[in-house]
Amino acid sequence: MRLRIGIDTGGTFTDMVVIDEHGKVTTSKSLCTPHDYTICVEACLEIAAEKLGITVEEMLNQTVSFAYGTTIGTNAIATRTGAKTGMLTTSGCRDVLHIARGLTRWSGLPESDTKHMAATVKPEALIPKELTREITERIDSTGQVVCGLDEEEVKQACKELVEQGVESIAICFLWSFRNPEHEERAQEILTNLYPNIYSSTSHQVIPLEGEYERFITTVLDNYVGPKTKNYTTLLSSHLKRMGLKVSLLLMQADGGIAYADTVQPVASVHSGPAGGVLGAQTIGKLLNYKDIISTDVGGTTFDVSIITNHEVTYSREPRIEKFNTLYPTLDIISIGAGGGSIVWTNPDMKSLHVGPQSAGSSPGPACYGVGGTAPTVTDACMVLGYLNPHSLNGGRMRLYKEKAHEAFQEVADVLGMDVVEVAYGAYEIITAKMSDLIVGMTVRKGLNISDYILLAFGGGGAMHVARMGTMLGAKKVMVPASASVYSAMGLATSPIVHTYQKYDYQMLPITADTLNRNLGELDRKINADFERDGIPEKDRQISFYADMKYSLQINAVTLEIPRKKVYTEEDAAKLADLFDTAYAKMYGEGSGYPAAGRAVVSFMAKGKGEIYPFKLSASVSEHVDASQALSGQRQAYFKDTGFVNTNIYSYERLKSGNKVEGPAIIEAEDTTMLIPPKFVAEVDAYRNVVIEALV
Amino acid sequence: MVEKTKLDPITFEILRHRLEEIVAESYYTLARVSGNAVITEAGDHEESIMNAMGDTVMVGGGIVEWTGCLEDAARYISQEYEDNPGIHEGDQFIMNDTGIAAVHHMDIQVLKPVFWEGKRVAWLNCAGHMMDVGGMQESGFVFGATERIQEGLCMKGVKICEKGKIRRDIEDTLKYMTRQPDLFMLEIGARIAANNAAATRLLQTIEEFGIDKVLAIFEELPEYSEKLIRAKLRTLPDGVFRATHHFESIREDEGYLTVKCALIKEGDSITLDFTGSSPQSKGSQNVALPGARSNAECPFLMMLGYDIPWNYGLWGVINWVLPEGSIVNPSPLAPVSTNTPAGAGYVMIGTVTDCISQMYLCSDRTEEAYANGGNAFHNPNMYGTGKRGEFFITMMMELMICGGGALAYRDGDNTCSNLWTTKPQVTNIERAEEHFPWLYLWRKEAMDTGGPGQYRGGTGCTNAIISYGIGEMGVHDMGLGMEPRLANGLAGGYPAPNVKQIVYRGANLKGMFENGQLPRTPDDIPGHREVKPLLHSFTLNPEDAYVIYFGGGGGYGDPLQRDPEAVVKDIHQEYVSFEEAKRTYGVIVDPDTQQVNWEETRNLRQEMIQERLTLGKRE
Amino acid sequence: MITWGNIRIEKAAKKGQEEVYSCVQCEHVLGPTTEDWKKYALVNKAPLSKAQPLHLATHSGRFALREFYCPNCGTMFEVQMLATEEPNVETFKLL
Repeated sequence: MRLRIGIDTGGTFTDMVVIDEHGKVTTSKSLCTPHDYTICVEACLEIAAEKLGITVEEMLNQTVSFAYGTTIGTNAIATRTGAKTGMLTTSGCRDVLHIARGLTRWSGLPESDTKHMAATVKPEALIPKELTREITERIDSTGQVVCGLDEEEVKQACKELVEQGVESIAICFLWSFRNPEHEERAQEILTNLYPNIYSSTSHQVIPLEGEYERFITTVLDNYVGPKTKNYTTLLSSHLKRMGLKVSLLLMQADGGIAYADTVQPVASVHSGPAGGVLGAQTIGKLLNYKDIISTDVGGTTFDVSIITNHEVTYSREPRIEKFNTLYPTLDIISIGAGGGSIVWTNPDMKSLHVGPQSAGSSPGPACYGVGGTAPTVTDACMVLGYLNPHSLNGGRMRLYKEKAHEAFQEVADVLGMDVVEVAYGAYEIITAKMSDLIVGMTVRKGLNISDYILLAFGGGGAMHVARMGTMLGAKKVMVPASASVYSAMGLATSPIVHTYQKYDYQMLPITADTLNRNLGELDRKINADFERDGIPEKDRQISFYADMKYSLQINAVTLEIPRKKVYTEEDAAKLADLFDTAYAKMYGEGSGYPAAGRAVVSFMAKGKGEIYPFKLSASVSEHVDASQALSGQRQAYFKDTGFVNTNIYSYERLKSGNKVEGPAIIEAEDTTMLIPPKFVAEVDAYRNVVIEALV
Repeated sequence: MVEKTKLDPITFEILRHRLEEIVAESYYTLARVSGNAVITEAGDHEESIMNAMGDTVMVGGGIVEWTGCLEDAARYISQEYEDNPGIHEGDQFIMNDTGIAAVHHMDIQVLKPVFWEGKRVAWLNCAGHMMDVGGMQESGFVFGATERIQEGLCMKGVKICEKGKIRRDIEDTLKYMTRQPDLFMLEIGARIAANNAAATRLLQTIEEFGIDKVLAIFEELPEYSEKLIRAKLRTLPDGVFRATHHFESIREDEGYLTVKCALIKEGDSITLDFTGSSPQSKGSQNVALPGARSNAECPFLMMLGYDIPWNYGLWGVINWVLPEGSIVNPSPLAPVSTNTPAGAGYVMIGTVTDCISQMYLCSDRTEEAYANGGNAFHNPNMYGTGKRGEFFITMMMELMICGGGALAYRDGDNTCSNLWTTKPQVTNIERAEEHFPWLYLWRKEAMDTGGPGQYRGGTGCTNAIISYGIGEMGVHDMGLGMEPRLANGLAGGYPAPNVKQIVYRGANLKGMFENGQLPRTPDDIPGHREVKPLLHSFTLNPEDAYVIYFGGGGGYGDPLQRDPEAVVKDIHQEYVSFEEAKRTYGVIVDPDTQQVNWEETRNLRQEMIQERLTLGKRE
Repeated sequence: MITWGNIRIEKAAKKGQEEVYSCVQCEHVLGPTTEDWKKYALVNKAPLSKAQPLHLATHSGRFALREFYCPNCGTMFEVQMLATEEPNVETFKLL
């Protein structure tokens, strides 16, 4: 039996999925052990093996792919506990990280926060000036050497930095992506002198224009590199000892997996959220939903990502904390809206607001009874009868309905409204904010929401998603069986992904030679990677893209170019039309200015390699009647009906094929699903709950 | 009579958020479509929604300096052009008249009326800076102007779009009158697209909520903002807070010019009184009335209105005293093109910032006060033959990363501030070199450029370039603060240092490069050294080098009260030199251990206090 | 009690007493708040080149840095750049 394993470390839990070749899924879960993550991985393996009735060794022996999502890099940055990193840079560029284009003061903040100048602070640079060395060398924008590399200076700088105790050295020169000669030579000098110092160069990490973003991406790579490499090496050898025969695969921020020894460490940063998106993508492939809006309502934030035609989208401005980077990263937009968002009022104005301040998990919503007194969205859901008045998480956590009421009383008194009216108002406001975000994201991409299915991950999402669907005009919404497991399943079923980019700014018309040369080079790199990975040619799927713009415009559009072995002049000539059409679709007719000329900025190739095709087993059932899962009734409040008697179902006891008509509430261990009146929920073959409006 | 709809607090909040999103839609569309680095990389644009009469209901947070002008434009068109040429569905209007609604002629606004069931219900405005508007001088900044008519293109709300299409006659005229016709039309297209994107969402909102509710939010939101600002004003101390800023006149015969501001706050009323400012200048640093108000509102919005929706209800509470015939309210014929950034408009921002900070310092919210930062700078506009043989004109964007002013409890932020905007950023060196014919020698944080104080002002930057193209390059520098020190400190902090620009003639660095040498400081650059004045035009030849120091932020508090450990940290990070540590902060640092010599520091500081008591006189 | 930087505004404790400015550092009473506190401070007109690197300074003499000190302890209350001969600017006056 061939097995595929996916393990995802989140903030609290490590989740694991094993899929056998018949598509049978086995899951396990254990608490994270941040002091040594190999412990929780091992715990998961043991639980899963036990469920399968085999030993861990037997299980690992049969494993054909083992994919792992780590938070090591993300944590190292969040806690500023990465490697002591030095930097070699072009003469005159010592302060690139300190100046940070002036934008780290506000980058990533919500608009409302940026307006408050007195409260915005520029964060400290990751590398102090004492650990940055300027090197005499210069290349110009065409790749010509203006001033040769001073090799003695490189040696001296490396010596000094090593004496100062650095563990890694980032090598970041201007225009290295045009001509990597100097960066390569400097790294060679460093490695010859100090083979144990971790080092990556900017052209190797991300060969794109823009020194601040390229340098900070490279510096982050050096900052997390030693820790990430050490940990994955440790885990690999550990797993090998336990019986794993294949190499460890790692999750990357671009939503793909790759063999650990080939992954650029910075690529593993922020791969956590990508796991969820991958989960959504997996559901899409499984159930043939090609267009998905994936949402996640957590305690403090609401995250959205969009999958179109089964493809995830990359962020145009990827960011790690307040640092704008360049590494391919899934586009996940986040706003401060979640279960913990605080409901507040300005007494003078008699206005009602929700968030962005959050009670988080401490002091938490009032109804948690752990010290929070401010009313939150979770408290609103409690007042409205959506949440179980006694407990959450299958009884593991007690809730206090009266505290939610008390918390709302003050706001209600100020507004002269009753508690329920205010709670419903808060629920409407937060749901409208979430919907507004989604509208903005789709409009800016020229997408039509009604083509999409809305997915709700996260503990809180299932209480908002049906209402959100109505506000957005989405036809179908879905609550996946288990969000955390889908993320691990995404890992277990994901193909290997390799992405390469090449900067080559050229005005149209370009020749077929330009296409063949650039795309050919990227194609060869990807195929070489797949050779090394052992992926046969028939299982590789490679797509080509070009970033294009009107020459005077700064922002580019990523255009897919149909892949060919050899491009003709005719193909090259077609680019202009393809681009014009894509641009007009994205920004509206007449927003481009073709008379100013069109330019290609860079090329990209993305390769997907199937390690082993997967399928899942589905339990098909015709039992529409869900009465076996009915666990009781309670009063719940809806817009048009007010409080009504509402059936409560236990998700655990629902079977595939069951239908539940609204108003109803389905309680699962980690989420509560709200089926409003005139909606119907159906449990599908994979135990996802699909909610649709009755026509 | 139809009963007026009164919104419940829930619908109010949902619609308020929706209007924010609609403005954001417009902001993002312009930023993505535009081809002008000043917009895409410096955020020099702003968008708004106005009611049918042109009063602002919601404005985004772009270039805050123009906020007031946006509604002046819509009000003017509503009042003047209703009958002739008429305002119809599918129309858009172009406006840049400084006498009506613009800070300077480069700020081109495009306005779109929005109709519902045949009736105009709103205006949308999308405004941004253009790199050229024809006239006597490339860049639109006209140093030699003595009359406004010399300052280039002036559109008083001309109908550029009719029935959704750009009018060919207007397009041809605009192209003829400007130096970068293609870029100009691209920018107009970007504004049209931004307005269309916002209009689509506004119309969807009307469909979803009904026109009555949308009209109700248009009315209630400004009322809401007014109530909030008045409530906030009532919590602040009553008083008169004053600032006087002097700056160099472009006209040598005028010496220097002055903006004086008094902020009078009583109860919930606020007056900005500019009495005592210089009489109208003969040169182009005047600011016309709409621009004057709009500039002065900029710190009011950022410092007092940051948590209140931005609309006419908010800034409508300000009472204005702008004396006629003065530099802040000149005759309609007076030239105004350099008022921002190198004239009265920009300096007004600094004075109002000072006054509001003084008010906060007298309150229990001292954390809201900050010293000025980025008031002094150079802003070279460069033009000539581009890398691909085309005519180019652009701005060197380092003025966006001046040092921020110090606060009452911490140092100012280094290299990231500008008075106009909440979201400054500078172009990458590589982006600039890809598109423009120069090569950077350095872009660094400049030592000792933050105003000294108990809390240091943020450090400014310095850069150096050589011309690196096919031919010579023209430079029109815009700048302030080469002699007067403009980014003044607060409560005992010093103003930030002066700015400077130096051209090294015949430096011929290419020879040095070939010998494996790259200059890292001005001392490394050979050639004949020419210090160039502000607001000056000159030519940069291929063998020349050009070095600029941009401004820092003012300090807060007595520098002798600065923690000596903080001074040492500044020395290590090269924000402060050993010399200034000693001369200004009275801190002696042991050159071997790089640590504070506490005894010598105590003695020196005591001596410096004694010197003050000796030098200081009673008036 | 209101403070502005190193200056304290002390309200009259009793009827008939004056509201006065004093120094936060040394508690020296400067004088009644009916006048600008600058009248009670020591003033020094320093050249513009002070407190900045000399290579950036210019020296026309049109302007000066006007420094105001506590006459008792020498704490610098305020420094302003003004034309050499123009009158003081009353930075704040509470009503």
